[in-house]
Amino acid sequence: MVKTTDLDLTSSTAASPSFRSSAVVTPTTAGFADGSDGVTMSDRADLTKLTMRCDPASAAASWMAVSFGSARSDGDVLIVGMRPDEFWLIGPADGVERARADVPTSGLRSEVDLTHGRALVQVSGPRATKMLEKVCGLDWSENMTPPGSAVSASVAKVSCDIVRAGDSYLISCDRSFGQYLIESLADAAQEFGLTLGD
Amino acid sequence: MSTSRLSARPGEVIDRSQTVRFTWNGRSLSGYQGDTIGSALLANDVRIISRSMKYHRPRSYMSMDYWDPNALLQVGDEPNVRSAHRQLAEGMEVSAQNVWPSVDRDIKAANGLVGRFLTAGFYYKTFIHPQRLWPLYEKVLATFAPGGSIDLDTPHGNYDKRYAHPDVVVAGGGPSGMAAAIAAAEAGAKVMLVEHEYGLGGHLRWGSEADQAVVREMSQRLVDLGVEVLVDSTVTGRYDDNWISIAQRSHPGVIERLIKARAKVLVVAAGLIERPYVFSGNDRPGVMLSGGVRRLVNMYGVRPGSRAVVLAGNESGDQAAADLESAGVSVVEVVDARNGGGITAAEGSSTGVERVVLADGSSREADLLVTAVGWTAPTSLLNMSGDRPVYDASAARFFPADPPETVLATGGMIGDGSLEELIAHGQSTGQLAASRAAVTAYRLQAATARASAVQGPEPAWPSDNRAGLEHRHHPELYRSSTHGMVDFSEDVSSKDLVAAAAEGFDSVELLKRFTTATMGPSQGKLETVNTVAVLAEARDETIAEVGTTVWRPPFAPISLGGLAGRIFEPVRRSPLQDWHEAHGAVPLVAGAWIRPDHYGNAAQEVRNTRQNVGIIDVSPLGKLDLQGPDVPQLLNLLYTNKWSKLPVGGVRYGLMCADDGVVMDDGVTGRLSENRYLMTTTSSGAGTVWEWAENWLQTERPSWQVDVTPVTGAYASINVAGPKSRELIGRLAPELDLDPDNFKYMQVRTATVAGVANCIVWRIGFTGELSYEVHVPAGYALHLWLQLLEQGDDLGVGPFGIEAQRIMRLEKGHFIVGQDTDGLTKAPSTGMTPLIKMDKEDFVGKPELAWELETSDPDVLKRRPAVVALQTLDPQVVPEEASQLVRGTTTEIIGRITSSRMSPTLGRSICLGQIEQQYAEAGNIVTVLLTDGRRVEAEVQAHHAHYDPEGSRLRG
Repeated sequence: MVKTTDLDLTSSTAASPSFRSSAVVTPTTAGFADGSDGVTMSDRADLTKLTMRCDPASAAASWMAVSFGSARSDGDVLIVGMRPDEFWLIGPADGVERARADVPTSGLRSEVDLTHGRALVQVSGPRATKMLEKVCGLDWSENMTPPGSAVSASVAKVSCDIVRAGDSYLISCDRSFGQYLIESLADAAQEFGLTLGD
Repeated sequence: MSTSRLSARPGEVIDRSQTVRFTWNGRSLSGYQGDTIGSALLANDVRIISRSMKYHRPRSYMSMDYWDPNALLQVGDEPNVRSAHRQLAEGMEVSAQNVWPSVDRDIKAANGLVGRFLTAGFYYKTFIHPQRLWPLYEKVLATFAPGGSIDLDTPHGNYDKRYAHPDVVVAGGGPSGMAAAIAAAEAGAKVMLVEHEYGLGGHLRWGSEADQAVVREMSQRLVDLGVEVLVDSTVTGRYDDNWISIAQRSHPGVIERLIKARAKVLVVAAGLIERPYVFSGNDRPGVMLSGGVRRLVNMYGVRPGSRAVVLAGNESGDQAAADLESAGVSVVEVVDARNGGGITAAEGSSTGVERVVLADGSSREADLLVTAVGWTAPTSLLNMSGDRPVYDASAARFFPADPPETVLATGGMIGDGSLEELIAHGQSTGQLAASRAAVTAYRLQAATARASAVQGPEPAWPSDNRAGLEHRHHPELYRSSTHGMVDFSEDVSSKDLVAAAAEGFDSVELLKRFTTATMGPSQGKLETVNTVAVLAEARDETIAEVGTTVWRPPFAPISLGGLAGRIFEPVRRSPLQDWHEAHGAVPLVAGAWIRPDHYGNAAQEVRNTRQNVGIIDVSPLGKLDLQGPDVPQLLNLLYTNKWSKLPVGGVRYGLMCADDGVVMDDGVTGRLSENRYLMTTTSSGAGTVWEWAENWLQTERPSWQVDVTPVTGAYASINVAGPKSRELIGRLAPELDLDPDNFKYMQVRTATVAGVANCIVWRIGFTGELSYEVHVPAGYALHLWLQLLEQGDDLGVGPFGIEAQRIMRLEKGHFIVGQDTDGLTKAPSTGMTPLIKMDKEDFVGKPELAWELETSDPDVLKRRPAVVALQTLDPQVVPEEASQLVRGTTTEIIGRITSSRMSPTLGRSICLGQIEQQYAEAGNIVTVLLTDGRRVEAEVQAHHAHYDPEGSRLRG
């Protein structure tokens, strides 16, 4: 099970200074940044996102040690069971590379680096759940979607993959929707007090 | 202020230290904070505030709540404001609706003089003949339509939407509803309490000081327990599995917010709505319901009249009489309907009641007539749950019958009792709701894979052991011996109903639709039972026998803005879109994508690309990463051509058909390595093709090993086109072997470009020029784009947009799936028959295409559409896309233009079109019917390509 404290997502891939995120989060984008701390939103697009497909009964899948719909943290890397045979490794480039090297090749079918393909927003804070409940039709109560859950759902009408880690949520979508998603989340967060994270 | 405002009342909700200024029909007035618009108007002695819909009869307030049928007013730009409910705000500009010249002297009141002709169905029957005059009728009748006015330029403001998953939703914040919410929350449930009015308390709000102390205490308890309390909000509907819609009018910053709540249990505590009495003159200003009078006096400190007659069929009448006396109103008579007393008419002038005629024929001078004749249980939410309430004649109202087990009713709607009894019933209902919600939660949790593990065995379903509330006797008081209004909003009288029943509309559902009774803004809350009672009388049956109409959502009208909520319109942006916009690109909305149409001069962009080198952002191009040993099999299945022998580094074009042989997509696929391919799709088809591939893999060929990953967003795609493109790419990718013998047309390489590793470089192109398409990891797209511009400066590099690309592809004769083909275009019609490999074992659409290709039916062969290139004989005429192709001088349609442009390269008009095969031979002259009616001739071309049909430029 993932706890917020397990995740250190502050270090970035930043492979090159010419890297551009999928979204620009500015006080203008957000409409305002009032400094209250209901919801904190941070752009994590620069984290490495590697998808690995492997047979569910294989050594590679066992190494992942997460079932479909759940996530765990391994050091600074998040390992997510995104589909029954699809796992995501999310974290700083070197961390993901370390973890990747550990994955047994038996049963590993393919991998695709989606670092550039997915927008990734981290939403946290005491009212983050309230904010997400507002724009996503899933039941986000702790019993129904406990920390450590990984789900696919519509957020503000965009198909997203969401990992819950305590009061923190990692929301990703196709990169091209990134700017729209972040603006929609900022809009939804207004009533709860929005802070823009690093 | 005015003489109608009383001195301070103990339970009043107004704050006399806060004066609020507003205008009424342009006149400056003032009220207090906490006033409704209605209470402030009455406090200012404004009595007539509206005119009735059909007869334009003068009207005033009756029930002083949300349902008041006479209270719709215009406030600023907003029409149909429920002024007996809406709170007064500083600066409001309030006016009467649909009156001329004024509410006090309305010309259209002349309709009342011909009232006996304006019976139900009058409009239907009168204006159907002669039919040709209907447009005129419509114009005139529209001026009589009620409903205020709107200004289309008014900013629409913000509406909002949210989801919620409470355990228990309680509809109604009276004593029973509050008690239910408290008890459910105490039992651990997550509770949402929704109250229609601005404050909690229900009928206690205008009750005694002790009543109000109870409200304060319970409100505090709700806060302490963390119950989410929504006031000025309405539960508007109950749908399957307790999907509850709530219109919240009180959320800060937005006009209205729609809450979509999935509740485990719904508690309906909607209280009771007071019913008007039907008698002559019952819509005259000065006739009020006892609840309306009590609200006005006790909550707002306003005296509703000076001399009152009270018709009391229950204790609410007695209480109203007492309240009036305490407010200094002279109560000249309390007519006790419980002992057979009655009234027959309210007489007076256009300004209101002057006399009340009693059943014994005597009359009393009075300017106020208060009626207290009974209650209607607003069971709508129960009806929406499938319940059909039953009528109890001794209590003179309907009661719930048998709602589903996850919908529980409490409070006045299920029976009568003291305050303590109502609260006790609410408590037991709240406890039952919480315990049933807990079982439902257990079941949901157990059935959901991602949910936490359930603890212990499933609890038993709690049975309903609540003690009921008694049905106290109440006289049946619906209509006096005289006729009067039944539906005040729609101006439907009891006489109209009787006449309609005599005409044969004697089922309650037909009667409702024919007369429109119960169909106005109060949605039957005041009118339904009276309608049924009048019909029962006309049919000489009981109310139970007649039955009621079906109450459907919404419980109360909801605005269209509220239904729309927050308008989510996802927008897709290329990583280069900011650059395009900063450099003058005119945006083109293409599906969800925003794309650069052109940068000012598309023709110049074409010329520069043909002469030098151009770059275009084609990032929306669909891209699917395919990996696994069975990719060739998948490609063989999805495309019509063959894929087994594609070498690493090779690229092939493919045409994709649906099962019916209709072209669904096309694109190129390249083999990047032994087991990895990259498929491209049309920009608009990316999602569909992904689903299509997954569908075949998951349901039809599950044993195949192919992993499909959409990577449309992962790579930005930049096409570098033009005779100097090789030189430009060479500058940025010095290690890439660009020798035309080693990197040929229709080949693909992986390379480092402008220092960015893992770029995919294709020798393909849509423009007909030598071109390289670079798929760059999207985060570095801007870097590459800027490098291309910088390094290619001396080569004359320039960006080009979608329009220039469209022109060039048309010059080259490439068709676009969905533009030059349609939902009926089968593969052979595209001229791609050589790519349809019927000797393959199988591919999607093969059986249908086999029939298409093998048929010898001359009619099919002649009439099959063919995609052809066309040139108008007059080179300056560019037919609009979708212009029809017709045969000779006739109007017989034989095809249409699907794409057309003026070609800057050729200096003439060029087209693609679809035409029947029998006319598709090169050299044929066909007629194009222009949209302005002119006919011009065009010649069918030998090739799709108008420009460089041999392809020497792109292969160079």
